[in-house]
Amino acid sequence: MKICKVSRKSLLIYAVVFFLMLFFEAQRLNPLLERESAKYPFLRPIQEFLTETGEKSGLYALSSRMYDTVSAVSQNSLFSENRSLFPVLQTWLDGMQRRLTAQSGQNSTQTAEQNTAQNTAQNTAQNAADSAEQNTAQTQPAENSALQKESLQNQAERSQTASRTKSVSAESSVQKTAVPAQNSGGAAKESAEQKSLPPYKQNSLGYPFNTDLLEKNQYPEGSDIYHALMPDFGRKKTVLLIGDSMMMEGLGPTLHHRLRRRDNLDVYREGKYSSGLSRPDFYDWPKNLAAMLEKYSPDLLIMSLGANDTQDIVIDKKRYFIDTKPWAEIYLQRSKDFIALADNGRRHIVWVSLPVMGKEPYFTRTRLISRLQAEASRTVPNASFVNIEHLLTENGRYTTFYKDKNNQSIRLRSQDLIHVSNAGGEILTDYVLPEVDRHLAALYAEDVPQSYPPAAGMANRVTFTSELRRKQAEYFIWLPQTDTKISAPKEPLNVQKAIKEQLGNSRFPVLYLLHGATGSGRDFADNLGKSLQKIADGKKVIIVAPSCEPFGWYVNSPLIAENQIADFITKELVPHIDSLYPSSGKRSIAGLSMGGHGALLLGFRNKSLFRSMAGISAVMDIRVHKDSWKIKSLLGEYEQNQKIWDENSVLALIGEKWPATSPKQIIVTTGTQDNLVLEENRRAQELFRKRGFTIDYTEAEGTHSWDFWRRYIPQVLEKQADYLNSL
Amino acid sequence: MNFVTLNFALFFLCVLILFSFSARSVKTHKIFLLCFNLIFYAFAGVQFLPLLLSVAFINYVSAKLTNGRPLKKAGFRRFTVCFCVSLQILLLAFYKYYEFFILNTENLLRLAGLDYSLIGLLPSVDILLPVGLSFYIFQGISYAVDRYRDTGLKALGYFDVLLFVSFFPTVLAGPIMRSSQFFPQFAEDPAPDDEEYKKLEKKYIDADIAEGFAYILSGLFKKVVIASYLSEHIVRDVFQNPDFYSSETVLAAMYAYAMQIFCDFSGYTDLAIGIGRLMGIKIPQNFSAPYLAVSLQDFWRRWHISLSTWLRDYLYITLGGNRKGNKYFNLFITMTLGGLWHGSHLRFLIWGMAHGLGLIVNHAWKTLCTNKLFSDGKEKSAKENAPKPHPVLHGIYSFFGWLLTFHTVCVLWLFFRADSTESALAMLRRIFAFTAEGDGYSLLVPAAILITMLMQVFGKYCFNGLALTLEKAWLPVKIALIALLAAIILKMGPDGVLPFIYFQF
Repeated sequence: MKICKVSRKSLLIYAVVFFLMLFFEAQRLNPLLERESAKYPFLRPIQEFLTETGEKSGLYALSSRMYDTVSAVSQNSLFSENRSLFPVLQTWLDGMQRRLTAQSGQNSTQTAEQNTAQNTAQNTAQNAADSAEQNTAQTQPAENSALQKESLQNQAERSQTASRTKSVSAESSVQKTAVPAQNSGGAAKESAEQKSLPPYKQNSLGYPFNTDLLEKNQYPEGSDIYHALMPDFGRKKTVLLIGDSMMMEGLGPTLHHRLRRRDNLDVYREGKYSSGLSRPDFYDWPKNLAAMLEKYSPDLLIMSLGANDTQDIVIDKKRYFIDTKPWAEIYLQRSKDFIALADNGRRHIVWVSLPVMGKEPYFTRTRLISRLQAEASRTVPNASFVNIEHLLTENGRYTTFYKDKNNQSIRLRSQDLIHVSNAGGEILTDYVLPEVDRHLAALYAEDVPQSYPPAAGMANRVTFTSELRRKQAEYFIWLPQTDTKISAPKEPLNVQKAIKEQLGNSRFPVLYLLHGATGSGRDFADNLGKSLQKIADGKKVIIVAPSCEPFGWYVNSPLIAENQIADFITKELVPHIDSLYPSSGKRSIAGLSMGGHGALLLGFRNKSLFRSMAGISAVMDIRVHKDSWKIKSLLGEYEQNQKIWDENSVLALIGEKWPATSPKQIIVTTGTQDNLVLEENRRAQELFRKRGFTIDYTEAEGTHSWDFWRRYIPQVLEKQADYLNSL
Repeated sequence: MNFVTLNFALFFLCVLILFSFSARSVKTHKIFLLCFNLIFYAFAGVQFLPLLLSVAFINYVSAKLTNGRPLKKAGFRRFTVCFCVSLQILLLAFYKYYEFFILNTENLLRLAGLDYSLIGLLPSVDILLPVGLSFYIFQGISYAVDRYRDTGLKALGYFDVLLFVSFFPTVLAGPIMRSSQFFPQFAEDPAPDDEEYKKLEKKYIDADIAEGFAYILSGLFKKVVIASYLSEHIVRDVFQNPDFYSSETVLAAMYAYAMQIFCDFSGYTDLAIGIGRLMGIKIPQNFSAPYLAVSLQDFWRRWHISLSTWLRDYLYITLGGNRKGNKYFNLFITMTLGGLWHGSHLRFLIWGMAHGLGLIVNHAWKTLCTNKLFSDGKEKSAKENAPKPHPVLHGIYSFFGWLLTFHTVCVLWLFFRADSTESALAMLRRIFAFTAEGDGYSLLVPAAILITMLMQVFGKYCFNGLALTLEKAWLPVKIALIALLAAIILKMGPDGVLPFIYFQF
């Protein structure tokens, strides 16, 4: 009979293959055999025989070599990072180009690299506290070659980011490689010098607080500008979610999703199905946790695991049976070790218990496991344990379905009575999130150290790190003086508290004021410091004058990655001001010359942010000045890039927008002797009227100069302040 | 019991040992196989064993009553077969749609303002779907209906039916076999003593075994390497939270899932076929390069062949097929039910209906082409006399057909995989946002997609080459080759293999 014959013949091959596979799969099989032989003694001789033969015959060696090769190819290759296809191709092309240029002028490239390396070192040194600075200086020569390597890596990464912003010109990419890598977070984190510092992340002002820096930056005696020292407020925090299937399904995805929606968080999730603390032979959590912590260095760790731990633990061929006291002791110790590994004194940890299980023995055992985990998490000060066992229950008992407020049945658990569905995950997330928020608040609070806060009654210069512009951004701020006059504090204080003490509980409109093409926020302090303070006091408003790039034109440049001024103002400056000062959420924006262009541009684009906009001697149509004022270095030649020029031209915007989709108050003021922009202001006024805008248009005696602006800026700001206060 | 586990490898070793040493006749062989079938199914869920036994029993009774001599009246026969089939369909529907039914009737009644407390009296809705239920019910129905339709076929004994229904390589997720494919393989040797026959037989046995191992290796590669990789590295994450990924990544995830489901299911099928081959039993193919299809109709001839032919033979033809009623309507109903068969979710309904509509458009287009464009309505002569299109034109036509078909299928897989209809739509929105920024993906993903696509084109040749090498090679070389390949494949996979997608249906 054919079937029999086939079976007999295939048995021969199959059996030998099976036998061989026992050796080839040793990495997976041996731990299993080890574990099981504690229970079934007859497996012991089999295991010993396999080990002996495997080692003698070289099959084990072959197997591990195969494993190494395969994992080298599939895991440790450069493909392991998450990337997209097209930027990677771009990077590759950039690399090719660099190699080509390197061949033609090797010397120049080398010096460029040297520069980069030095820049990197210098910047890090600046960032570091004094002692660390010395440290770096000492190690620098030794690590020079390493640094060059690093900087090459940085270059690769930078050019990748550059290609994302669709930078095409080769020149600009070369320029960018010379820019210090200080701000590209990932690269800096990896660099060797950073590792020599204490692991606590340094902020750009030499955090923790360093008084030496204050003296360097302080303004000369008698100036009415007071330099306030501000910490990076609300720096991005990293949250890592880890766990077994509980983190992979249900709770994990929903929590991940909700946290990822927040702007100031980086959220990652790592996990492994069917893993736990009972079976390091299957998945070594402590080892893997260490790797994950190194990879992400999370500020907050959220974990949930243990659903697979309801099994015996084997240590050194001795089996500890579950439900016995020794087992519980071992598990407790493992949990303590695990959480201790995660703790570095500053990291916050939230350990989420397992949900109630629908069947025995899981029901009883997971409760025990949760108790042990809770006990373990008490050993770490910054950790808290969230017990979710009472959720997903009905009258304290397990339930698969739940009736929502519409009395609709919703599945909370999957059919195995163990795993949690997405709807169940939402419920758990609702419960866990407040605890997570508590920890995040504590983390953010740590970021507001004792410092010199801005004081009411004078011009304050404040700096903070801009991720978008990759540099320290500064702004000048005038706060309204209240009844209690407080001068610049002598002692470092908690910033938020100090501002609140000065300004009380009331909230104020914020007037933004943008400088011209050759100026900075400082111009306003020098020329109008006193009168701006008068407006702030009299109208009860906050006035902010940021220093943006000279010739930055308040645009997001596709060519220069650092020139993202429009986004800087709307996405970084406004949130920064709102989070630190008592802003009422009513904002206006005004500016002179290039700033007038910026004010109208941003006002038109962000109706929800700004209720009022004003241009004083504003550049209304950049297209008229297509060959002057470095505009084309930001936007490219007009002829090739008409679209982007149109998008950034105020006049074009007036032609597109409608009164209903624009700020209500629009003020335009120009000098009659202003040769630069008078003509286009008149055209703009005409177009405004034609489109049905009501604008406050003034032409007055004056030129394109501070003589004119000293007279008219206060008037415009008062109008804006009145308007905002009337809302 | 998953095929890619140590447990199964051991189980199968036992199967082969007992088969080769104890089975001397067809009868004992069948008894052994039956025992192994039941043991295998018991591993999947002992509590469902009675269900398997009763499905076999229902079909056994149906065949006996409709096919027993002397033949009963036509009305009685029809009644019996209808009753037995509906009984099984009800059984299937109960397990698959009970929860859906309870939850939704409750809502419907509440919407209608009726008293729904009665529904609440129905027992708790925690019902586990018995593994493979729909596959063995389909196999059973095909047995019963075949006996009803063709009275020339012999009705078999209960244990034979059980053997057929519970055949362990196919019981969990198909391919759905027909009794006419299964039972003839248990025939006694026609000429046991003939030298010529023995020679031939030996050759065929060698080829069979080589092919069996080649199938197993190919299945392992598809499942362990490609399907697992794609699932772990892109599909699961992106389908969970599409808004975090760039349009490009979501698009890649869509293709990746199309490849994953192919590799997962056809990998499973390859394993089942290979396991069958090693026991000397041929199991029909389930896939034939489905992503090369140039039309939707073509796709369904290449994808899950055993299910589409089953639906054609037992649903479409019963509905009236091409002849009775509206052909398009029948097609639509067949595909919709085919969609619903996968589960009680709106997204499966959408998936089935969309495929149904696509097939209607496909058929209509074809009819239009043959009737209107090439002739004056005389269909037969039109086909023969139709001017042969220029090969280049034909190539372009086929290419666009392929492009359209492939993308239709890929987009519809979104509905198949997503957790809900909304999330499928969210993914589509994300893809068509084009510029949405977000996370990227590993570069091995496009490579895996490319490999799977190449597999459609060259897979057959690679497979034949491997099978031929294994057949001709010297025995030790053969063994070493198989072991090495298997080891490399397993090492490329993750620790612990994910369950097969089709086990849930």
